[in-house]
Amino acid sequence: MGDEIGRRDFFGTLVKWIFGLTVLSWIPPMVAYLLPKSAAETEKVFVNPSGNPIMVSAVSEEGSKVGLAFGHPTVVIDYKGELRAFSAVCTHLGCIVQWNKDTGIFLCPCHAGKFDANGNVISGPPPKPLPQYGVKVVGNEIKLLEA
Amino acid sequence: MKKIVDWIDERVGIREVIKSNLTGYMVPANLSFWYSMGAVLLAMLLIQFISGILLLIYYIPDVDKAFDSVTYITNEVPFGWLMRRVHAMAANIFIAVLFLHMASTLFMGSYKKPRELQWISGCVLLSLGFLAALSGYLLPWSQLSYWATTVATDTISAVPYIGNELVKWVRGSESVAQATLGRFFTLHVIVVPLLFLMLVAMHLFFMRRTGISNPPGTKTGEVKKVPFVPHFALEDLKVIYFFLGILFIFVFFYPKLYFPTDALEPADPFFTPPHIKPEWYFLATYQMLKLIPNKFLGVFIQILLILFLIFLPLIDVGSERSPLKRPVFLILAVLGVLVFLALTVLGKIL
Amino acid sequence: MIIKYLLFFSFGSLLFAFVAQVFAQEQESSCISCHTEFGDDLAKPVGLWQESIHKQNGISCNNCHGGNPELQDMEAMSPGEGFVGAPTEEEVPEFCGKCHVAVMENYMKSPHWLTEKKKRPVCTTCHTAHHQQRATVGLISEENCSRCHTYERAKKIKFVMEGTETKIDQLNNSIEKVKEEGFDTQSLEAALFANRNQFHRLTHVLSVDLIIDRTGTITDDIDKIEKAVKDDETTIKRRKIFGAILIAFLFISAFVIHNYRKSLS
Repeated sequence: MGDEIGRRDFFGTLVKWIFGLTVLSWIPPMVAYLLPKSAAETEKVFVNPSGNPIMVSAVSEEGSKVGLAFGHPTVVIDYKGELRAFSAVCTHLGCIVQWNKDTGIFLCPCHAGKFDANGNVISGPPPKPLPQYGVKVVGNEIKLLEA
Repeated sequence: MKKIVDWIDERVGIREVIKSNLTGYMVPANLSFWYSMGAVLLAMLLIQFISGILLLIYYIPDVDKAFDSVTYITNEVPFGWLMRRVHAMAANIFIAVLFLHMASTLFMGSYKKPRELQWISGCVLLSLGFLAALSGYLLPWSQLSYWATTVATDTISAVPYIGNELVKWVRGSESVAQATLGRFFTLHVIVVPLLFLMLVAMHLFFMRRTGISNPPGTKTGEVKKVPFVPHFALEDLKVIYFFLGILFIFVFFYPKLYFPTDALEPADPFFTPPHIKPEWYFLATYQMLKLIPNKFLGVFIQILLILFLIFLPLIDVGSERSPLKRPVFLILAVLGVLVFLALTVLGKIL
Repeated sequence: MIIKYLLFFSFGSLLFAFVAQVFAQEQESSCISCHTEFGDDLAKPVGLWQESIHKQNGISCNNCHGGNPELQDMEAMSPGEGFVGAPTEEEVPEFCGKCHVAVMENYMKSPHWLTEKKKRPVCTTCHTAHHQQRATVGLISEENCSRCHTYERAKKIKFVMEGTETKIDQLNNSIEKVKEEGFDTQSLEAALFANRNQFHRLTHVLSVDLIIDRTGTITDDIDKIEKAVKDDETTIKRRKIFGAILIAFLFISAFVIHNYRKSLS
């Protein structure tokens, strides 16, 4: 009899723990799920492959610069004095587009896709326009903002 | 704790409610684990509500943004991948357990008098389950979503004369488009859940009023009863945990089963991927439609079968419940299950 | 029999309506229908093109040769409709270079174009005119290259490229596996594809030194992609371990509850 009561209590305690854990284990994932994204992740400094920020002066001098932001190649162009930023990844098959400041057109060297200064497709195979990013100049550094 | 309960009890007599519904609610002691299927369904439903609400926070029901929002959930949101997989897999388990629940009720003759209302409300719940699955399938707006919905809504054109108009009405446009997404989203997120809650409440109400059935073969008068809480409640919980284990095996180790490659591509209305098939629970009806030459006949026969199933308690009015003592019923039922399984397998491999 | 065909037609008709839209142009393409009809030499390019990577990507006759495939008579081939006909060997690089800009630029810097020999290899020499396949390093072969000179120098180029090519292929497979687990690999796939393109484009200059030089930067990029993929693979493993613990907990709980219930009766 004592044995039975002992077993009952033992399992009883275990069961209480099981219920407790089941209920509590939902809380951390749900809290994490609802957390807002930190502001730092939505702004990115425009850098070169070695991680050093590309200066505004460099962009203005050459008319455009391809660098990295948000984990993929991005291009910042100097369009009539205004800085504009786009994803440099062609929306066709992923090659890097090149800005020609004389014609004012992005040309993709792989299959001749062409985009205008707003990122819209002019001709060729690309199915979608180039995603555009907001530009914020902080000192001599360029910060790109997610659309 | 006791003080709080006392305070409430003084005002609304809560202790009596607990006694009559939980600790004093007596059920037969020989209930098998089949009797726990309902509880498993409730648990799965709860999981769907919670995971669904969480997904709803980040999901965007617009054809240009839906797929990306789901990609955002599965890649950027912490535990988003888990919520999405749980929601998709629990839906499958829900329907599988629903079939089990239906089968056990069928074979044990528990649909007979006085429990006809439970059976009928159960059939409505089954249809709601299918509707939830169908409408939810479209929401990620992947190739699989788009084309499976196209094929599924196409079958409605089998209705004579008004078939094509009906299809357009269901879709909200000629082809599956934003209009379709809008109405399927509404169905999935508010209409079906509300109806579900109502029907589940009715289903449970009927069950409590008629009392739970004795397993067939129990000799009357010899029924030993035990209080629901703790005995059968624990049994229910045990089976729930077991099925949760099964759920998470699929969630963590076999995601490809319910996310084939077509589910990972955004919808392209101009390119049909080869081998588009409906989800497993629709394969039998899909295969039957393919086998029966006349499209209208195919749909008509299926509707007849469904009606037969719904009104079964009004057709099979004998009071004998043991399957071994009802040979005609047993043969029909076993045949029915075998044909359903065969059609499902055929639907998969053909 | 007839009934069976009726069935398939009625069930798939709506479905085919959509697909037909896309292929309507192709099916009605006069280029394809006329050339197939005439058979023999005129039909050969069609058959070859059906198996090409151009067809797979929706590039048809008029995309390269101009003309208008919607016109059902010889007007389809008039200069007014932009028809340019078949290029001479001299004209081939610019013909293909209409789309493959960078490759053409690289090729025109190479000894293959700049040679003073009477016959030079052009795009179609190695890639064929209508049977183009996905380019791999296998195009550099004894069979292909010794048609005009010894295989020695081609061998060197292939040797220098093979390591990177294998790496790229393996990485492609890893990305595919990670994608199946639900990860969004679009930017990774695009980055790898861009690198692969750059790499292949490079060959056309036919300079071993240039290849060795640029292989460094390309390998760096590829390594970054590889690291990202490995990170994803680690995450997948971590999740599976977490999952295994959770599943064990659930089954053990079922067992414990079972025993608790038994202990109560």
